[in-house]
Formats: sequence, C-alpha cells, structure tokens
Amino acid sequence: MPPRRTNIQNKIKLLREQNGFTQQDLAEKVSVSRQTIISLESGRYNPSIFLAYHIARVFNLTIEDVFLFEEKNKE
Amino acid sequence: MNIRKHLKGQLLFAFASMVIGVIALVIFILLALNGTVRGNIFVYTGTVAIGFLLGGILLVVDYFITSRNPSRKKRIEKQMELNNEERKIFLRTKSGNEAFGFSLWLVMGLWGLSTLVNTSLNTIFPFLLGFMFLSYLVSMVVNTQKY
Repeated sequence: MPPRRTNIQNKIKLLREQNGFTQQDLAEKVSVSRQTIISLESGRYNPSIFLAYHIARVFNLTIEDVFLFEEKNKE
Repeated sequence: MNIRKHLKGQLLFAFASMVIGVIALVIFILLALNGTVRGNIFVYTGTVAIGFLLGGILLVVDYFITSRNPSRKKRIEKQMELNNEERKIFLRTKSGNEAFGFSLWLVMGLWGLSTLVNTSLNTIFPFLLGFMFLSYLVSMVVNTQKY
C-alpha cells in the first residue's frame, strides 16, 4: 500500500463568523490564545484531537463537520 | 498547576536563590578579608551574590504583591493556562529540538576546529552557550511565524 498524506482543512473562520464570535471569544471558549485561533484559521497549525473536539463542541457540530480530512496518495 | 501552588513554588525558589546568594556573599567577603581582591573567583562569587540575592528579594516582593492582589492573581492564572496550551508546547518542543540539533553540529565542528588549531575548548564554551540560547530564540521566532 502506498504511503498516504493527510491534509486537514477547516471551516473555523466561516463558522466563527456565522456564530458572531471574534477570534478572542473563540479562544477563550476553548482555552487557547488568539494566536492559536489565527494559526488554525489560516491552516498553518493542525490541532490535537482534544482541541478539535472542543472547537466542534462550541459550534454544536462534530469534528468531521468542522475539519475536512483529505487523503492523498504520496507520489 | 493552580495559582497557590505557583506562588508557593515561587517563594521556595526565592528562598533557595537567597541562600545561594548569601553563601556566595560569605565567600566573597572571606576572599576580600584575605586580600584576594583579584581573579576570576572573586568576580564570580560577587556576581553570583548580587544576582541571586537581588533576584530572590525581587521574587519575595512579587510574591507579597501578588498574594494581596486578586486581579493580578487571576491574570497570572490565565497566563499560566495559556503558556501550557498545546500550540505553545509544540513550539517550545520543536524549537528546543532544533536548537539542540544546531548546537550538536556546532559542538562537533568546534571540537574538530579546536583540535586542528590546538586551542582550549574553554575559550569556545561561552560562545557555545550564547549560540544555544540564540538558536533557540531564532527557532522560536521562525516556528511561531510558520505555525
């Protein structure tokens, strides 16, 4: 089986704006810094399963609804 | 870690610093009384005495200010929580590993160089310490931008 690389995209910014939260609001709700939210929204940082779960819970959604996993076969 | 535990730890650290400072001060005074007012040991003990005593006293003052100020306590507690968030732990770990890697290569290089030019490593160590700190700082800045 060829090795697979997983890319993670997320809808945090979209969901945050839909719910009327600022980055600071969301950061306080999940007990992280605003810089972490910025990094997550820009896709530079991938969260742990715990943080992903907490973020999904803030929006009353599942992890799969917030984070989009794309599997790519490594060429 | 809660704020009470943190403050208790700070006070213990302050007392330990002051004890080291006092020991260094006693050695410094004994050296001065013996007339040994020159040399590395005199400068070293003097610097340690001033640094540790001053640091310890400042930490004790900070302890009393913080323990009487609830809003300051809350701010420190929040800061402690944010310092232990997963991204910061990730950044610290990654930067530490990178700095260690760079330093390892530098140590190997300097060791080879000191053998070639027949120089004592003692002259190179202060530079190495500075490099380790600097490479950690640079790695931290780069990784903070990257992640």
